[in-house]
Amino acid sequence: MKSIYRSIEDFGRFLVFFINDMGEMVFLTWRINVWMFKKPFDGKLIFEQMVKIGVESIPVALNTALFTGMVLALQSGYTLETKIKGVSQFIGSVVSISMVRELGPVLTAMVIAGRMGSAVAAEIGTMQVTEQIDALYTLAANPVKYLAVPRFLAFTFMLPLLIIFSDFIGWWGGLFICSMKFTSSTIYIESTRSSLETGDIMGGVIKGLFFGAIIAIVACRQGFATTNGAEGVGRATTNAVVFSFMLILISDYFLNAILIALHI
Amino acid sequence: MESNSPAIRLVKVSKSFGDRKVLDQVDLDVKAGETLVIIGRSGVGKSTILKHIAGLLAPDEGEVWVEGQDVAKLKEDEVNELRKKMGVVFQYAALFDSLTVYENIAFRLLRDFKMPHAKALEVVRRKMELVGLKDDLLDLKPAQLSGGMRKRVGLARAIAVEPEIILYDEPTSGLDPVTSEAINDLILDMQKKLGVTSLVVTHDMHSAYKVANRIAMIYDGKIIGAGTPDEIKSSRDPYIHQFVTGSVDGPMPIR
Repeated sequence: MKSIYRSIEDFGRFLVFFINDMGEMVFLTWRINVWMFKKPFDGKLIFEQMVKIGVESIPVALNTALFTGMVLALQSGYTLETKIKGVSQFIGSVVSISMVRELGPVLTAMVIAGRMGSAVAAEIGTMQVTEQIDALYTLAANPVKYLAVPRFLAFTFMLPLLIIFSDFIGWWGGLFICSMKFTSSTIYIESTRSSLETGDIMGGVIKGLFFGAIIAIVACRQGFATTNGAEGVGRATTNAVVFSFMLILISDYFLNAILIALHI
Repeated sequence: MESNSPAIRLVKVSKSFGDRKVLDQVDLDVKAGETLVIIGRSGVGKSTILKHIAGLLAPDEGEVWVEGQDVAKLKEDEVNELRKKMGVVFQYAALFDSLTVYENIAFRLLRDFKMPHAKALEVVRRKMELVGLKDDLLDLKPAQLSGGMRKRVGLARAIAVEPEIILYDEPTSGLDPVTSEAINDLILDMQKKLGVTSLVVTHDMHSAYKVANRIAMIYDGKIIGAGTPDEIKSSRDPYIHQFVTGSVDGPMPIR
């Protein structure tokens, strides 16, 4: 009985912590947007982050998208052929729509949150516990401007690009499996063409913008809030990934609802 | 500013972290051109005083005046303007890991002062010579340097913009005696060559006696005594006496 109370207590504590953190994140978002438009323009820093977050994430994004597309084709092909029978000409629609609208954005965002959100939280967290953040202030460089703004811009700009890339790779993975096991590639392409619209791709890109912003803000916030040395850096890193995942999934539902309401 | 007004003045500054009162009505003056050393046991708020002066913390009560300006009332741009006259040497140097030694020392010159690289490099070389570093370190990352070297790079970064005030947070802690002595000489040099006002926080009494014009002791969030090194050395205050002689017996509890 006691352990039940304790776990309820723990959950409550986590909830309070999470809500408090959400408030801090809203505040950080506001500060990032204020600092973004102040001089100097840190082109070099932004470019560096874009390379780290975007370009260097291509291999993991490729791996994720390729196998997601392949398993989608395999599973949907099997279902359409054996369970419903004889409708395997729709594999192209199933793969492309679910990839572009849902799996491409969400899985890519999660992989990037795991790979780069954690790295950003650990980097800023280490800078916090070694007084490098204080040093930035004393050298007249605001840490939000110097650290958070370039990362925010890099995440929000690069994630949509990675998502478009993932959509394409996933579709190719589906094509490969489909033409090997089920129908010809012509039918797959034709089925994609008849169902996929520009709006579907746009919806995924819009999601990517939001997911990128979420990862950047969560990671920066966790980094800046780090205390207690190495242990704290570890906690910040874990929190960055866990909070990003939760917020990506929650916001995905609501973004979807809004996009559907707007007929995108 | 009048020459006899203090460069730094704390007026009844109080600060608490949670329930713990770290500074309790602290009054402190540092005259222009002098080196004041604040001594006290670990965790009594010595560094907190420095952070208030650098504008990193705001006091709960009281005022912090630097060069005739109330730090807590300034806007961010104005604080940055004030920080151009101030160099901070952090306890563990706080060098930026991702930047080279050159980029660290030239950080503010390049970013804030928009100095061209050729000119910044010249300044950096001069400052490195001043702190006794060879310029073959320019392209190394902080992780490749020893503790003493990092401290020197940290000092070079602090003096890169010709500050009028330098704040040192435990400049000799964690260094071997020879390197400590070299850092002490550097602090004296800065005062002599550049005429800066210095505030040094330390619990290294040897260092304090060597660099200080005046010493102030902080205990339990309050300044309990101040004077010249000789006055502090011969002080009859039981707390000060216990601290400077490093004795277990006395009014200060060990825990």
